[in-house]
Amino acid sequence: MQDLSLKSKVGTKVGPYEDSASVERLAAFAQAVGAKSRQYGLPTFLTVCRKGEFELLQKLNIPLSRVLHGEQEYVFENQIQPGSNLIYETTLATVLEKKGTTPMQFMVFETVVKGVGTSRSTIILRGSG
Amino acid sequence: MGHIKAGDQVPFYSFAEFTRDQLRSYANASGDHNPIHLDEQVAKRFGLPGVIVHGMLGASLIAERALLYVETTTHQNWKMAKFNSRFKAMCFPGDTIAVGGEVKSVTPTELVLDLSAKNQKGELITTATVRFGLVQ
Repeated sequence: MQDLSLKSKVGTKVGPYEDSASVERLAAFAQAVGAKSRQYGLPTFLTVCRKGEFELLQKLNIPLSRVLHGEQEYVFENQIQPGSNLIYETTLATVLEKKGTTPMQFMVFETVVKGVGTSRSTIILRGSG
Repeated sequence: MGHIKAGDQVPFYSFAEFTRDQLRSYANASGDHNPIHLDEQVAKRFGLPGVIVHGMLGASLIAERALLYVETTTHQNWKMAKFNSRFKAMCFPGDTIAVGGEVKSVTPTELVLDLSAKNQKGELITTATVRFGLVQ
């Protein structure tokens, strides 16, 4: 059963992964967004740290066509250091089901980026598996 | 903190219209190459009206507005401590986003903004709460 099998995967962890926060990459991100150029770039640059989420979606056999981004949270302990490497691990932290006329499933992926902070992505699953 | 107070408005600031070129640039810069943002046919096959703007691109505009606000309104060293965004509706190439809102709370060491991104029709696209802390 789809519901049961997703919930049973809570706690699955993947990583560690690495992503570059080079000066060039921070600048390219800010430019693509249309943001001002700043030494530390944009804090939402942490969105690049999604390899773990994609790997978990693959592991769970969830196609991208079902995935909609519902919420995104970042908690920062420190700013992203230009020139650093972002090292991170991702866990399927929560699976929620909303019953009713349109049943929906939500997943929360928690990514801990070493020395920077934590990212929590809430994904809405559309359709049925 | 004589200057900013809870309830102060963060004026709406309009960003440039989204283009397909920008979605390609953003895909490269963010690593999010989900075809729903890049390929019209794939987007439609997945039940969407056409390619949609990345949620995090819209959220990044909110982050930018928040930074612009603290930079122009205060001369203190505020650093973003927490950013929470909620995606309400989709937006598409050709849409423009304006971001504004209000100061939710302010103390000598913490500033919280409640911001919204709206499209050119005034429709709510994304909301966010942005918390800044002061680096001593």
